Amino acid sequence: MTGDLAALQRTLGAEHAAIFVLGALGGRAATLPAPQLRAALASAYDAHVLRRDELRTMVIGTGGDPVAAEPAYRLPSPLSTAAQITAEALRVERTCVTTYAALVAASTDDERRWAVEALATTAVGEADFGGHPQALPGLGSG
Amino acid sequence: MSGSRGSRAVSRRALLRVGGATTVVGAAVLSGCDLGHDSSSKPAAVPPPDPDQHIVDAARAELRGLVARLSATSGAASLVASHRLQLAALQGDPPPTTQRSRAFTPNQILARERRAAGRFTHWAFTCQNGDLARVLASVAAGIRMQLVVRGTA
Repeated sequence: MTGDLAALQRTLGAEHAAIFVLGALGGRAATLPAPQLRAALASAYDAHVLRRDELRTMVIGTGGDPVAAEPAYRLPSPLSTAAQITAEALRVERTCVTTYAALVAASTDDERRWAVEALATTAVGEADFGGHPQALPGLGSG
Repeated sequence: MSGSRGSRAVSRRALLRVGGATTVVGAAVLSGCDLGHDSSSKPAAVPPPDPDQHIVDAARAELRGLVARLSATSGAASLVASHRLQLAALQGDPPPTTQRSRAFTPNQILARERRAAGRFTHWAFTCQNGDLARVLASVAAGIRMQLVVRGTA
């Protein structure tokens, strides 16, 4: 497996997890009087589904067999309030930002361009879940 | 998350690439050992030029310029702090505190921050080294996050 392909597969694996968790969070939020949170979760979910599909295409284009999603992913508990759901959504987004940053480092050309855009778009979207600006998102900096 | 802890971690990573001097010094020491007694009869090894050095220089200059002007601008403390962290990640020295710069107008802040975000994105696309690209892309994203807070992304 080339470096690029391994990084693409790791990113695809992260997208699978993000989609699962965001979907579950959307289900939990459906019962809450929190329309903005529901909208933000739906938007994030759609964005990650789109990226998952794009990553699958990139993996195939690199000669790989796209990694499949796990049957399930662990959810933190409890997840009953809007604040808990929001915090978990922010954690998911930040994890993805870090994964995209790693893909930037491991890729070139079109894959790097994709990763740079995904990093920035997702970092900016953290504000929907109460995220504050970071100087160096994806690098572990506050 | 701790900003200072993150900054040090990033600096170490960046040093691998951005601190081209590290590689240069190492190469010089190694070549000195290899040359042994014949050092006077062979030309000194010349390290290859760093293909990303112009990007590193431009990126540092961009951030230094922003820090200098924003430091003279009221209400821009968070931007100054952010750009200082980003400059440190690129192993860049901040502008001297004695440097006198004109303050930005609010519109100038937005224009310069947008321009910087675009430049760092472009540099992340075009630099050769992946670790450097990661830092540059992160800086671009960090600038865009600040623009969102200001409601102007």
